[in-house]
Amino acid sequence: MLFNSMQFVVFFVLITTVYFAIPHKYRWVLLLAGSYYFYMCWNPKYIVLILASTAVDYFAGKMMSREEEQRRRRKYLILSLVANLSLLFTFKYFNFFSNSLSAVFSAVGLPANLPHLNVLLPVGISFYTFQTLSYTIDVYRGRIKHEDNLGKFALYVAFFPQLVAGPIERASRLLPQFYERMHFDDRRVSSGLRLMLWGLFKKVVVADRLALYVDAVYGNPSLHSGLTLLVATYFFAFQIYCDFSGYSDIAIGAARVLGFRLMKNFDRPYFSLTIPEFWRRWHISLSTWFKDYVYIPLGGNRVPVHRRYLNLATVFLVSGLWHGANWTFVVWGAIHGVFIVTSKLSLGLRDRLVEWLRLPGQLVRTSRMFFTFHLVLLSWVYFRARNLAEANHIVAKIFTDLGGKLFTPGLDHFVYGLVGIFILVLVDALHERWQVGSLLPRWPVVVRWPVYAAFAVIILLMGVFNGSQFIYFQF
Amino acid sequence: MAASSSTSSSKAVRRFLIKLVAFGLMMLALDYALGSTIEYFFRRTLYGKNWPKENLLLSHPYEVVVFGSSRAFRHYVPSIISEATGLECFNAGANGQYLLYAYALEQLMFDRYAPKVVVLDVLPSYVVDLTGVENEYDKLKTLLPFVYNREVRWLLSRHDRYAWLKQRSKLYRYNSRVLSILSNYRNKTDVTDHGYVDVGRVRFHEVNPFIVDSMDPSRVRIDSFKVGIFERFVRSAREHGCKVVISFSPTVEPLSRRAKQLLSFYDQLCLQLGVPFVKVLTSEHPEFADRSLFMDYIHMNAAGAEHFSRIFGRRLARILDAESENPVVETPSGAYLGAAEVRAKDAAGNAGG
Repeated sequence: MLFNSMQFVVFFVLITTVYFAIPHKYRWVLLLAGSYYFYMCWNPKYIVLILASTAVDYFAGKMMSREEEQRRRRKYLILSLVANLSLLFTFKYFNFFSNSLSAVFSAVGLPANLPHLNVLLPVGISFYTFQTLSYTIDVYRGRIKHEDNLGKFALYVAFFPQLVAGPIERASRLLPQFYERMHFDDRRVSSGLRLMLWGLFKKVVVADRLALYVDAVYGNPSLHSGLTLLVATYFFAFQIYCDFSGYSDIAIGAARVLGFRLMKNFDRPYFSLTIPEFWRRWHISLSTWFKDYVYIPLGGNRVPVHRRYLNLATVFLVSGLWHGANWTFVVWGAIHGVFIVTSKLSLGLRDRLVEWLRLPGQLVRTSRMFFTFHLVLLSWVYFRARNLAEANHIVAKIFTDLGGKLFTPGLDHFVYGLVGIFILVLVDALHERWQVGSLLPRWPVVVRWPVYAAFAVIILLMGVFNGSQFIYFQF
Repeated sequence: MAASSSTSSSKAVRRFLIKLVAFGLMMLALDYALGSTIEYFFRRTLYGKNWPKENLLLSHPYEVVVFGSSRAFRHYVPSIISEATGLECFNAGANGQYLLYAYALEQLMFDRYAPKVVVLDVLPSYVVDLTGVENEYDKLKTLLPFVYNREVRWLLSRHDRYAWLKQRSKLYRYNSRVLSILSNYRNKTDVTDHGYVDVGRVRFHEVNPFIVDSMDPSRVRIDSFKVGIFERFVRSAREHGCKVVISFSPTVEPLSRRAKQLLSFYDQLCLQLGVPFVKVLTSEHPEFADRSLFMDYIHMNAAGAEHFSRIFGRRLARILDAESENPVVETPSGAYLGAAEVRAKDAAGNAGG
């Protein structure tokens, strides 16, 4: 079930109505049943994977809580890690590694006929396995108590607003909320609906519109000029941001309507002044997950500088692989690893340079934002291209042959896309500068409602309603 | 305490519902007012870029109307066909659209007028199940401004459970069209030849084979619903007193086995329905094997279209002139046999052999 479908609207209205109509003690049952239904609308069979993951981690958490000795606790942690990562490996990475090994064997002249699994990638598997892993790791570390109620734990794993594309919640934040008695608060509900409307705008007006152009160009990069490839890459930067942050906004908004607080996942990342800042503002739930469960266990900031940078690069490499079983994602992660290490290494030098040049602060900020955005833009080529050869071709063409005719198949689509980007950047800039998003609820109805109505009209007139999936579902 | 919290909660629900209803009413009013404004401009838009061809077709009672896909759009030059037949012709072929669109458009046309002749240029894929290959139903959204027609509404609702709800919104009907409506509104010059756009002598590109030729053979299945639509297209035209002609325009390469099989299927259908099937095949007209007449494998350029239209126009004129009331099959001598004659001939052949 997609957030941008009428099916979801009906489902959500029904769930919300029944949720507030029934007593508190039955609400988690409704949410759990609703969440499983939500997932099964995509592929009923794959609910077994969620059930298996839930059962293993519930059991591991419970057993860990019974053991005093760390060594004995560790074996349950290992059980959870092996079970979840095996599922992830089998369904997401097996064919990738099998194909890559076959390619290596063929390259050295060895016959290779490695097995290939004919399985569908379960939607959201990377999200819910990471979410449930964070629970067992936190129980193991003694940061949280294990969850006794199997039903509520199952709901933590499968909570429908964030089940298939995050935000990746921590048990310490989400599980206690299932015990809270949620009351209907019209202001909170309005705030949730507002966020959902904004998310829908980002998805159907900006992301899906730009996707029409990006797909056409990136589908046949060799046919297009350097200029077209550059424009398509700019469009993709906004497409992926709006697609993913739009999903997060709808997820956070839907949860808020029901009374739950999910973590912020995006914080206007393209306004970042440095690459490390970009990663503090982009897919925050994943970045913090990697920080807490990979970077810090590797030594964090306590190790020597060279080791720290190596760890950072490793984290980004793994993060790249998390995004997809393709070398393009590995390279994308590696590029960000290089960017982040370089950024940290050069920070002092850059600050001194700015001081020496005595440039106006605003100019420095704008230049840094511009530069950071374009570094991220470069990396998106590897994220979007179908393979490394095409990605390299696109980069080479942009840098060496930035001319030619601009591909404009339907000028209207192009203009709608630009209008969508303009509105997005304007709203984000206003929010960045004056926090308009937070001020809006305080404005009088005569101002607020026309704003909401305008967005609803724009969605109806300019949205793309072809039922397209969210990009991050594939991760 | 619990009672007071429940009271405050129910007050909040009431407050929210009042706001929701008020906002909903405001949106309904806005949808109606803005939608009607856009509709006003849309109905008066006939020409320009991405123009609504449907309006042009409905604006005037044409005598010959050619329906079909981009091949129909690119191949049938109305002025040439009109010259050959003496009847005013309109090209209603549309890029990226197939049989379902042709049928819907035909039904819209019958709301206004009935031409003397209806031509349907077929693609091998018209009657094939394209699930997972192309979303034909999604493409029909271009007909949303015409949901007043029962058949259009029915087609649009077939694959969307919530279509009835979406069709209520006047604004949604003009989704993604506002720019072109506004920019075309003032355009009063018809740059088309009765719906046909001359692309000039575009050079050949090795792209665009027939969809069925790029499909996995095991997935090529006849879609009985579309066969039903084909029959409805023909019967409906008959009921409106139109002569129906099914046609197939040339391709630069010889047809694949699969395409030939599907054309035989149309042969059978046409025979059953008693309508002529005019095939202008490259095997019979070798001049069409010349790539300078095509812009890709299945679309001719202007030079090809003009040559084809002259051939088609002559054949159409012969069909219209034929004494046989209901001609079906073109014989090698160029005469046309009626359905009854074909059946009699078949029966004689079977008895003899």
